[in-house]
Amino acid sequence: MTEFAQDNLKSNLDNPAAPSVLQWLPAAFLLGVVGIGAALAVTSKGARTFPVGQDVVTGQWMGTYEKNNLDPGVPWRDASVNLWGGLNYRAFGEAREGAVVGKDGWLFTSEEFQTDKTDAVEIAGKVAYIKQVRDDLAKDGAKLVVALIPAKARLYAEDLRAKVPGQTAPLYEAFREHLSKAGIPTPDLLAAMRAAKVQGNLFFHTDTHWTPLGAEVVAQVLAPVVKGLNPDLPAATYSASEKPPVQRSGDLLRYVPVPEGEGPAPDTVQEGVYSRTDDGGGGLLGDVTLAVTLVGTSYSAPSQNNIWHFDGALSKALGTEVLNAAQEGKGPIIPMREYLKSQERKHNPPQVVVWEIPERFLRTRY
Amino acid sequence: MVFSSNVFLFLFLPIFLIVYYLLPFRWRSGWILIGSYALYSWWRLDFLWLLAGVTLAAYFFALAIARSTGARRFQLLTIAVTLNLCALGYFKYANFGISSFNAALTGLGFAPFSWTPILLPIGLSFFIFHAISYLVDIYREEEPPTRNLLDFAAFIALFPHLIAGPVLKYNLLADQFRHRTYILEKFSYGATRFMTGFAKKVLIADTIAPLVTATFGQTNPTLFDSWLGALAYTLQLYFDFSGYSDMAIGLAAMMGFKFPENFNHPYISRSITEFWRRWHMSLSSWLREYLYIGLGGNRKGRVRTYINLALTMVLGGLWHGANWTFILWGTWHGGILALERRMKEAKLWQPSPAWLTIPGTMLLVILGWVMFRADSVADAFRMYRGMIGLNGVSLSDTLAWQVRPSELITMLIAAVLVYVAPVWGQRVGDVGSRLLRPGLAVAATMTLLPLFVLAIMKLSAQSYTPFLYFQF
Repeated sequence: MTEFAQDNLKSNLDNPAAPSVLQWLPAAFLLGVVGIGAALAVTSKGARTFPVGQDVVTGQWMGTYEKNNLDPGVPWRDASVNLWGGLNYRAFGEAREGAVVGKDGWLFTSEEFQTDKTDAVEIAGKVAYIKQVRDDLAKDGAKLVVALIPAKARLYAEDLRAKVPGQTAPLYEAFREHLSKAGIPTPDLLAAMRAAKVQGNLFFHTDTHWTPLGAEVVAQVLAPVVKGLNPDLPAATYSASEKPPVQRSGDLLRYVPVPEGEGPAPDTVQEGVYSRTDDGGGGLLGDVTLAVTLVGTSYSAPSQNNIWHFDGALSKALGTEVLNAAQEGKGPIIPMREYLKSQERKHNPPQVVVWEIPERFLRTRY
Repeated sequence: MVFSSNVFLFLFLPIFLIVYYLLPFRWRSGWILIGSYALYSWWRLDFLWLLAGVTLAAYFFALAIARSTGARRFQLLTIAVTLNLCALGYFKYANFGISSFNAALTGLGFAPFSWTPILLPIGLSFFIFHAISYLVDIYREEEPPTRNLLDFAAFIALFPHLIAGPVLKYNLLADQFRHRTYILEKFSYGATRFMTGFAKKVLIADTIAPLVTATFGQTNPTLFDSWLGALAYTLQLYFDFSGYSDMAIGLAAMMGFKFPENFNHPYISRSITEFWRRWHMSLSSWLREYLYIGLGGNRKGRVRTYINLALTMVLGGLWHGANWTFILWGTWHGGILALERRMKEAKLWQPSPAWLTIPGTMLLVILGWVMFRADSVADAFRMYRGMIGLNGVSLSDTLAWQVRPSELITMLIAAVLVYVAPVWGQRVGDVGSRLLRPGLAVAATMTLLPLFVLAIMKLSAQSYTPFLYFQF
């Protein structure tokens, strides 16, 4: 016999003890929520912005509209993210997916914890590509130096709550050895940064990136390695100063959406300022050739959020101006691919290319 | 378009309901058809022809079967069912068949057959099953064929059950297309069921989902990893699918329809036979009526009965997806069903206490779910190796950082709901039922309302999460 979902309604209607509020409240509540939600949704900018150039027949238009327009555009989206992110942080000490909460206000990107069975293949592919880049640059007489930036979770393992998977333990050294054996200078930045931890924080508590000090320490380690390749470096002198200390909320705080004061405290930072003090720099019609090019990620790229100024620190440490071809948000591979094909390289052939590669990107496919 | 989405809740549903209730009754089937086709087309417009084609074929073949006599009736039924199965076979199993064939070819040293993979239309298994059941019922003269194409098309496409069931027989709804009652209490009941299903899906199933993905993604899961994953999936699947069914039943009630129940506390079953009377009841019923009985049921002797039971479940497994994992899962359940029947007939099945039979049945169910969830048979056996401790015991560090306290707490709450709800004598989804003691019913409803709002906000805070049963 088939049991129907509302077989009990008849008896409910005949049940004088049944509370009458149940006859109307759920209907009124659902209609109210859906009605108010609909009014807010259809008047939102997201709902009234439509995808262009997407195919309706294959559902592309609908999928794009829902995912890229409506869902992020509903007026309660930010409130929802903050509510649930805040609840999870307060109740369980959890960040939203994408970050891992450490001790004493430290936050880490979950990229530094992720593992997959395809990691070995991906990492081997990266080694092979770096060798290919070395060969490609060598055709023009340029040499490659890799700046392998250790993972924040590796450098500050003592501030983690969750252990980084053991299979990643040998990654930094193993990758560096692969490159060193291939004749690609890859200085041990991990050892240098560990030694420099006494000077101050080399990574921000609340950001995926290094501090200005971290960038400077790495620049100091890289400079003798680059000079050791005997390039002809056009001289340039720089002065370094620091702006007054300010509070800075790092990118990882987005994963802990609680009001300031409830979550990890923002970092305090003194942004470095590197100014060229000689007469060089190209001038109006200057035909300056830069011997060193920096390629890399957001750890190097000139951007609004970049306060670490790795290019400035490297220029000062080398005593020469560095061409910065790093790009934000694309990982280390894509900026290099683009650089190799770029007019920048054609018009300003380098003698040395410093390729900044954060360890956290080694297993990520681009 | 999934029920737990902004586009359904805040665009489709209000427009559909407003127009539905403004229209006179005789136009409502047409509006249901338009709404359901619109909902289906939101996925892809170019597969609407398949839904419409299956509908038209079933409608006209049913009329022809009813007009025919003798062997001609059976011929027509055979053609109609074969056409439906061909559609199902082509879209759902062609990729699997070719890839299995190619694996055999390459194994023998031959070049593989060149093949462009086919896209699986969503809901295909469900609307094909609806069509077949209708055709068989007409053939069996259990009901007369409908001459109202609009009502029939609206039944096949009816959006609450179009994408993921429940699997319904036309005769269960035929009268309701001619006459439905619209009372506020029924709408309220539907709203309660919908909100309950929504909360089950978003607050419980979706919260546990990342843990399931993480555990089943382990290369060498330990004892702890694999059991955690298996238990998490056991709860996720229940709350995802029963949540969907609650939403379907609730939406139908809001439109004046009565749908059959699809779950009845399956995790308190004391045997696998009982489990299949409580889990996905509409599918079990369909398999029994149209497959098991079609194969001869228990009318052809003891051995054939066991074979029929096993075969029904193997085919039921294959219906869930074109993968060897589903075939093995069906074989597992079919084998146990046959064994239980044999033990019962041989009087080897002794009444046992619930504290023994419920965990025992759950163990069998959980072992089955591992195969059901795994991406491949090899992945499933990796989990099984973990479950018996062959990869170590303690939590893997590759998993440890991904296990969130909120997921574990949610699992605990889910388990409590699964086992406490039957004590109340009511379904988990039936919190608004006034068969509960009045105070408890009001308290449950008052708890549900803010949970629904929280679920909407969670939906907006998280990324897109389709229902698990959409893949079938």
